[in-house]
Amino acid sequence: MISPYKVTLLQLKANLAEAGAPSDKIELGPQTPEEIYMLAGKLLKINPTGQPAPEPAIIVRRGEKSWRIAVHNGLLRMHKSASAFDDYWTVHTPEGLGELPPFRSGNSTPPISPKSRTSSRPSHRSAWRTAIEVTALIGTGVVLLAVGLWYGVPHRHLGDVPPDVVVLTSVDERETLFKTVAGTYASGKKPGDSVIVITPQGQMTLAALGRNGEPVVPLRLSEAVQAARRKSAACLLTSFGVISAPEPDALVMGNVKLRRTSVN
Amino acid sequence: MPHSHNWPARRQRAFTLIEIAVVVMIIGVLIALTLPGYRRIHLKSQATAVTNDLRSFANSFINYNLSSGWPSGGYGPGVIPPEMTGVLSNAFTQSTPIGGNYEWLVDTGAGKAVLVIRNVNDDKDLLEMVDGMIDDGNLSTGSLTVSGPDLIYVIEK
Repeated sequence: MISPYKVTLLQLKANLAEAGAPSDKIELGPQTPEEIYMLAGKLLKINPTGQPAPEPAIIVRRGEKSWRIAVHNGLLRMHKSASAFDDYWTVHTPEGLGELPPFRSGNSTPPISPKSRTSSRPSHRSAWRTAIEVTALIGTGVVLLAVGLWYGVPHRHLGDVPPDVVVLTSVDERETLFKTVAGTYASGKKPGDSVIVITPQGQMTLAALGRNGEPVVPLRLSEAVQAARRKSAACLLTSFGVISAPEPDALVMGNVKLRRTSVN
Repeated sequence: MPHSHNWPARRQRAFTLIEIAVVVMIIGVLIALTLPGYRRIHLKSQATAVTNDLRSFANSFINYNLSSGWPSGGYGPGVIPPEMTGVLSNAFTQSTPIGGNYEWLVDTGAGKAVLVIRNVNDDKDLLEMVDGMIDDGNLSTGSLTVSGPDLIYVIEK
């Protein structure tokens, strides 16, 4: 039976005693795997590393596929194709080639030798290291994203509750406060002056006096407010900040004072 | 005799976790570096625009006052007082660069002559920047103050 492996020697003498000229190419024809291991052993002895490129090599062909056996740093390399630039496996001994795809039938994935099992520990460590690196990088990226977004979007608003303001949670206290401050307040009687209407249910309406003295229609803002206290003074928390009621008949919005009035 | 294999490096067919992590990291760095800067520039441009508007309108009202007294007020947001038609730029009728609309008021609880921006943008950083350009940087003191959702620029107390 003829071996399916056809061998070509590149840049080698026929007896593989020494490297040949760069143009040397010898077709050996069909060879058994054992013969190929022997050739590889001879190639290893030549140790042609350092030869001018292309380095001496053994090309093994089986059907349409081919592999390249070369030597690098005293180790045999089995390239996945005839090209010296393709991926490769490294073996320490010529017999080790027997576990590689050209000589293994069926599963093309080489088995892990006992020694490579022990040498898999570093790769396991490397996997952990990779996982930690990935986590650290993604973590750092997310933190930077958060920092960028935090400083890149507004986060201080007029409606922020000042630290000295306490929101009332008791229903009784809330009702009492709303009943106390309920009414209509105006900053003046001229057109454009602000008007605030507060109901006993805690609904606040903000308007401005029109030219006829009536609140401008449509009213500017209407919302439910929260009852709160600043020290002992009653106040209302709105979407735009605090309206305080320092006196029974007055509200202060910003630095504008509004007095209780009969305007409706 | 023992021997071992060094498995061939696999050809890359997709992005690896490391590559994705590096991309996330780079995006994070870019956003962390650019977004705050962009916001600062954006705020500054808005604040500068509204400051220029307020100063320009205030000058127009002050000039009118020197010859004919303060124009009548209370026409509502975005409405130019009839006396100032053709004097004030049309920007007065449009939304301000920081949201809301300009309004001219006289003899109000806030002051004798007041420019108001009704329903201004709720960004305190922006408003403080405007205040810093026109006034003292404090929104509760000086000639530029916040009253509810309004920004009040007192021209004459």
